[in-house]
Amino acid sequence: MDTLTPHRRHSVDALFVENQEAGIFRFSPKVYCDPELFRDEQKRIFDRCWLYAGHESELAKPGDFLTRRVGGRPLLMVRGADNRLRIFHNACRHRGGAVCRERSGNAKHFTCFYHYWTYDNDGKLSGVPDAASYGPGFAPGEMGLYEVRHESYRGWIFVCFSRDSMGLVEYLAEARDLLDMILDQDEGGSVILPGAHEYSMRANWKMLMENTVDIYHLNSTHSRFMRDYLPNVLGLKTPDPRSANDGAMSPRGLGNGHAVIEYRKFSGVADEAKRKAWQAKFGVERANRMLDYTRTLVLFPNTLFIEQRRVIRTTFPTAPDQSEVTGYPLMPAVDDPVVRKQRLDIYLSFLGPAGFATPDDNEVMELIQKNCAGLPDDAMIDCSRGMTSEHPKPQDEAQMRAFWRQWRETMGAA
Amino acid sequence: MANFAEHAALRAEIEAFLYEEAELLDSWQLMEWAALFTEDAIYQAPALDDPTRDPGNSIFLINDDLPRIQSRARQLLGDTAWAENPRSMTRRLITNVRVIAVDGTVIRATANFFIQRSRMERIVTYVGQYRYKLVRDGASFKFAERIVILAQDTLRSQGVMSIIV
Repeated sequence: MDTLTPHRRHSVDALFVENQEAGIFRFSPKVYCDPELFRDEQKRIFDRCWLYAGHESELAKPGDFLTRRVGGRPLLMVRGADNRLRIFHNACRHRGGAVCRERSGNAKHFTCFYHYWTYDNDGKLSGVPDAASYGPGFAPGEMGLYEVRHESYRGWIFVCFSRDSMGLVEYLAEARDLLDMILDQDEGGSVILPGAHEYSMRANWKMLMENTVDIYHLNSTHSRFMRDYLPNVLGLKTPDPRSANDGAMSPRGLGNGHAVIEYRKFSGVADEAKRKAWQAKFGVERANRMLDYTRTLVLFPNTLFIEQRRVIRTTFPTAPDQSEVTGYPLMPAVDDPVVRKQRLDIYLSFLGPAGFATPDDNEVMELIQKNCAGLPDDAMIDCSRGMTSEHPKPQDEAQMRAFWRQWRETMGAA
Repeated sequence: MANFAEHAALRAEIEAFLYEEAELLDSWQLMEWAALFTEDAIYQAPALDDPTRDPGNSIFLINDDLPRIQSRARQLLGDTAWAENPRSMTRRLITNVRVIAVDGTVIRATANFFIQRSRMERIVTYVGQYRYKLVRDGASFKFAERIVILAQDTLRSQGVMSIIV
């Protein structure tokens, strides 16, 4: 148990000002900068919450593996010869060397090059050079790779580094229904395409969790995308910010810090045959919502899905002011090549290190980081938009407040 | 062994063309740069881990056709490409120019590059190889393909790539 619990709760709460009646929600810039909070986030958030790690389509066949750092920990994800998916710490049981140094591939065995200890693709230790030198207490059968707790939801693989956290379905809470609504659209299943964008920002990871569901910034931060790319390349009208979100649903928290914004599709109308079929399958209201709206989903703590651009995006802090960002394209497994090309264009024109939007997001987040490091601790950052509105809009900030309340709760908890 | 004398004159011409291109980019004459492309040109940066994939079935870093090349140039010249406002100071070293194949007026060539970008008290570099499909255009050339193969396994150390590489 944490002996500092009462003090901790108080000190985390003190970072926030919340007044529902006045419609005020603010927090100290310390949440982006403080090294102690950063260290605590590893223990209290990344070691306890369910974290997106990968997709089953990336590990389709027995022997398929990939190595990936998740929550700061080097992992080996592998489908064994028995077709079971397992996730291990990529660390040899002898001295801790890496048993796999390739990013992905297919293998029957993994060998640590330090002393050539070898493991089968189900994690069992199968080879120890000069094993005769070990005493009677050395039991190779108990020396398999350390396994990591994991669960999948409809192909999305999550890991949890705590044994006593709740299960994945309970953790996803109402976000599960939104995931269903997203994934039901890929009638032949979904697949991650290769080429994930791996870049970084010199800013706190939580800013990306806010920025990705910030609709308010689109016309200012992404002016060049809205005013050049949309009209001049795609031949689309630049949306009028006053009416662009008419008819949108209210952003809302989905429990456990997850949140969603749902707004009308920017363009494109579903064909009537598809609408009829989906109405029969999912019910009229749900089918129309699936077809006419698009959503961005926040999965606490560090995963986002932008349905319009089909990206699963994760972020992880390597320092208070430095974060890794990875974007994985999730596409329908069965796709018309022309439509697939359009999806990739929609993805790439906006997103990624050389997209027409991501660099500008990075720019503003890096500026905020610099400023927050220089601001007094009580120079509060505002996150109040739409707080007293009965029907908040996507350009409000309710979705961010859902994230922050969960962060406050998790960081203050015993 | 290759015949090194073959294409020597052509290589000198291509080098001169590439030096002019680098100067246009370093001096932010981006519309003049965009004018160096053919109507059906592509400007691509494939994924860093495997540059051989199909852009129709994987995600690239850049996959521009001519309208996108022109839009990219216009956007960067405008005042709301915030990542490049204020603009980066860049210098490009173009080296190791090789003529790979000549088929009439179509030339396959490669070159290595080193780009230093300096902005807001920070310096980053981009290093790699260009793979070109050039077509003769009077006394000069045009890019039909300008493919950027970055020699790095992620962009974690650079952050983003907001300039034209």
